[in-house]
Amino acid sequence: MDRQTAAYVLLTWLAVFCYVVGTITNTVGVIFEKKRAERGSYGAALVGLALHGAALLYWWQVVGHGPYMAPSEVLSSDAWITMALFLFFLRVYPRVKPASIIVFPAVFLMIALSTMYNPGIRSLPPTFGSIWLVFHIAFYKISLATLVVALAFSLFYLKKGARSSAPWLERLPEPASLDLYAYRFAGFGFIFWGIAMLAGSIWAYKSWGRYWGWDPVETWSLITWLIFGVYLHMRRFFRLSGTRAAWFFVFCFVMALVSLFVTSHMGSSIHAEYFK
Amino acid sequence: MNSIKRFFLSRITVLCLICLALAAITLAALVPQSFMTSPADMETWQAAHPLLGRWSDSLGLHRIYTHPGFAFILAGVVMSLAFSTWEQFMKAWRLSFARREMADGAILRTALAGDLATKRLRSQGYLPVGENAGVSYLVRHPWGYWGNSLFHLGMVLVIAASLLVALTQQRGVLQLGEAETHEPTAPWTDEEKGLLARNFTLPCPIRLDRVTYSFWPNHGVKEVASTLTFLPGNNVEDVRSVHINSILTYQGIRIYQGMEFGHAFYVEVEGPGIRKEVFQLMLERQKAPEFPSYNRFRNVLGNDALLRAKYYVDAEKKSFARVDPLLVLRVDQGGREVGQLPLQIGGEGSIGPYRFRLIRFSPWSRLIFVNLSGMPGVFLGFLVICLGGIFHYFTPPREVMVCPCPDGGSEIRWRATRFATFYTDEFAAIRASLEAEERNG
Repeated sequence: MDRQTAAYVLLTWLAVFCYVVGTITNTVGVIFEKKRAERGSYGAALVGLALHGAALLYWWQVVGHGPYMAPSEVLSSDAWITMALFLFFLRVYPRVKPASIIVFPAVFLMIALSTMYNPGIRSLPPTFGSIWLVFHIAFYKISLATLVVALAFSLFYLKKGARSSAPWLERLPEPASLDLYAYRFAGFGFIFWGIAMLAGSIWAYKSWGRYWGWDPVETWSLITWLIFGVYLHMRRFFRLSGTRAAWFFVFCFVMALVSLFVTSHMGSSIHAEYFK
Repeated sequence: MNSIKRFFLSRITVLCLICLALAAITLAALVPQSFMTSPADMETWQAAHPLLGRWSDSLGLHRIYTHPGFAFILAGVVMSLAFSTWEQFMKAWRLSFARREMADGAILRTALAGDLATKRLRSQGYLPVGENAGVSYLVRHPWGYWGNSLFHLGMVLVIAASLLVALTQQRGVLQLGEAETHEPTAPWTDEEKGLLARNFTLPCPIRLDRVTYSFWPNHGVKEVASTLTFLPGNNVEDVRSVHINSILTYQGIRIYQGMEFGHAFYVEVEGPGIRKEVFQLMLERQKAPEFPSYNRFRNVLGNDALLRAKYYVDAEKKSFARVDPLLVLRVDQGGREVGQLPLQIGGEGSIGPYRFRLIRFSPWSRLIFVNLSGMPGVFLGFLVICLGGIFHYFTPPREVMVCPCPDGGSEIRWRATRFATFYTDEFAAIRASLEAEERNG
């Protein structure tokens, strides 16, 4: 391993350590109602975020392109944006605080998965040198982050509705609020997903004169967006809520994961480059 | 008219249309579509899935996006979106500009007079939208009313503009070798045009002068560019360059540099039924110096003979920097290899009854020519969708009604039009602010 890669891996592992500390203290804080531990977990997450951000920026400078060309880069940057956005939401909407119990492990899981891939330097195809690509990718990552928050509330709802509800779940907001938060963040995810698709189509038009090519990643991304559209219309028109809405959202979330991480293996289009 | 409108606005219709579009696109993702699958691959798929293949033929599943059924669904979606946009536009207009009552919502009483309470609310971002008999109406983020109508309007714009693009676009692909000229009437390597579009012809002949390319250290492509000369006649030549991500526009036609490039080999062939004819064999670039690039040519030899070719850009297979190509030709007849022949420039030899001579080679590159209108509509639609979505989800309007009370104080009614639970803190903040104002006199 060369010195640059070693530095990147070291910074990433330091971030992993902070996230582990953050995840444990957060879980203890939320479940046993230890306010100090919960506050400490956000501090650990912030330190982890700073180290993680430094690792990503350093790697960006080393490889000469953003974190979107290899599974290790993609997962690591997804983890960073999810944590950063969650901490941002925490300031704007303090009521999302309980979602930390899902968001922290999700971030930890993503960064842990990223370390299992070789961070080797990938060269950038010339069509990838466009600012619209950066917007395209950034908005998908933002969308994923909001969907993780929505997933947290959907899972809380399902867990709270279960017969043997744990005492810590009683301290979560009312089921109706959980349901509403899930709906709201699903809406955010839908919009960011839409913007990401639109930025992608501008990128494609500027790069090869076709704003839509029906390749597997594009097609499944549109399918996922439409499924989210069905979810939102069902909620609005048919007052879909509660357990059924939560399960529907879990399905939508799985579809989003498939679109983001599986469909790039389905063909040999330009999209196939990023997660193989 | 009203019944048609009611039908398209019915929530069942809306949901059915979304589900039908979803089902059609999902089917198109699962069944190979003829516009993006080679005939050979399509045959392979049909052989592997005989039952689905039969259904695909009879129901047109391999051409969903050009199937009348899909056009029918799309028309329904557009109708529904258009009616919905109009309805929501009218609703947003009413909410933004008409004075209305507010029966529900949280209530608080304050000793402050109506105008003072209004002033305080205005300082918190609530904008006055009307007044009626002393009752003031204020809204925070009134543009949030327009979110849904803009969102749906954007989709109508995108679909309409996409339809215009799909019907009228002209798109041609050329794979040209260096020093080759394409005459406007010559056929394209690949062509696509809308149902209402005429044949795509260039305004003048075009010559590819030079292909330049470079590689990253790991052999990935770093840059590809082509120098083109437009030959409009009268001895006037117009030399331009096109790179990836740097589009060239010539008389309204957009020209893109494709990612594909390689070397074209000019091979003289002589054999049964062929009298010393020169063929151009195009092979795409290698992925690495030690791995050759392959292509097969069915129409060169005729007689059911298949010509297969591979090449190394550097005969020593060491780098991409040295260009000294080695072309290896193979002939298959009746599914069996007859023989193979390595060739370098000037080299010649025979495989079975065929005699080959490699005359020269030159780089080639792929150029994409696009002539279409409607893209500004597509992008405007995208912008409107984004705006609508942001207005709808990020700025739900919060309404306040300030009613003066007989005792000189006032009653404040507050509500969030969407996601109310999320904004209960805001109502608490209003209460705290008004109480502070009361205390401070």
